Amino acid sequence: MATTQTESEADAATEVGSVELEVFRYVPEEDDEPRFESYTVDAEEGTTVLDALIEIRDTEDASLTVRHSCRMARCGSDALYINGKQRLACNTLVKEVGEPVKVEPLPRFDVIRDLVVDMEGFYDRMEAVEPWFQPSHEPETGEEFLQSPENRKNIDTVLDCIWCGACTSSCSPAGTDDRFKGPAALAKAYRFYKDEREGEEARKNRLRLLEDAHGIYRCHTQFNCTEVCPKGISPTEAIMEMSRDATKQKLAFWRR
Amino acid sequence: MSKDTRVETYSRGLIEDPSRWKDWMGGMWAFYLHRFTGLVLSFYLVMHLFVLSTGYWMGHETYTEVMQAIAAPKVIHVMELGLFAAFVFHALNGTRIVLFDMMRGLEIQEQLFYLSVALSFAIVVASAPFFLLG
Repeated sequence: MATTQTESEADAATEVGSVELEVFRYVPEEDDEPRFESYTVDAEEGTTVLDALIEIRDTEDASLTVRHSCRMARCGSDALYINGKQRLACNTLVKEVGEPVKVEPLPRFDVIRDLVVDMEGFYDRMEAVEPWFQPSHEPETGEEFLQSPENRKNIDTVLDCIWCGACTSSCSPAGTDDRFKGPAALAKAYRFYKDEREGEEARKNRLRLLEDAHGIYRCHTQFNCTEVCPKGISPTEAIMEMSRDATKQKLAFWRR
Repeated sequence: MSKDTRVETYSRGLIEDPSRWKDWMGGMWAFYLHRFTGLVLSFYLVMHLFVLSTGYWMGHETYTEVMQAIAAPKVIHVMELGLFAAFVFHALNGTRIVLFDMMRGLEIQEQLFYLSVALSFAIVVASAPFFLLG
């Protein structure tokens, strides 16, 4: 039994051969303009783009800078623009994207160095939607705010967000409009909007925070965010549901 | 947006880089086509009102003359067909967008876009004789 397993593992690790990578380079102390540099690395069946970048950094060019941490699509540090799409480098196999593998930092984010971008603006946007639990009253001693399983189901997908910034980078309204919070932040807002434990008042306040020309209505349903999200979240769906609710409330003026 | 002031950063621009058009996915094409046909239709509307206003300001004889002069060249009929194509796509894709507002068809948005393109194509081809031969 043990031998079969080793054999199949050996099969899986067959060499794909050398793979060419074109990597975006920008070293602020040396370069005035960014440039692309080609590297060749040996890749196997399961080599991810992040593996290849680490290989380059370890063996070819120690100056290459790339953000990474968990290497298992959990931390969201290594969202990059790989062959025309925002992807997590650790979650993308070299062989699945085709050669040469063109690696760029996230578009519409300012580049600090090489593949590292400035995420401050993104975090500001995430914070702007008040992504924290706002109960209607302070909990009494021993009181718990319990969520029903049915209610929890609503936010199953949006909870998976790892704040990698891929969607916000792919969203052209988010790029051109600073006040638009972008798909990630609005999906986060949706997570709290759907939380029934906060009560009706908080729900209305959350919607009021979002409904203007620079809020939910700014979404042009390009679906870029949905296409690129490495966790399979559909921020477009979240935004559309919130804007539908907001519009319904606006139309039902006699009830106010 | 606040900036990380500890370091100098390089801005790669915020607007969609047109050189990336090969990587656009269905939804992005739908967005740009919808915008483009919308611009075409608004431009036409302005021109349309401008031409019609000759009847009001300059009398019906001038109006008839202007209309005949405009309708004479063959290229105008081709342009009319183009305008019709823009209208059909804008209407069909607009329906697709209204469906999204009602939370319908979000999972099949790309297929819906291709459907609206295919339908517009079929409608335009079917009505081409009325524009070109009529």
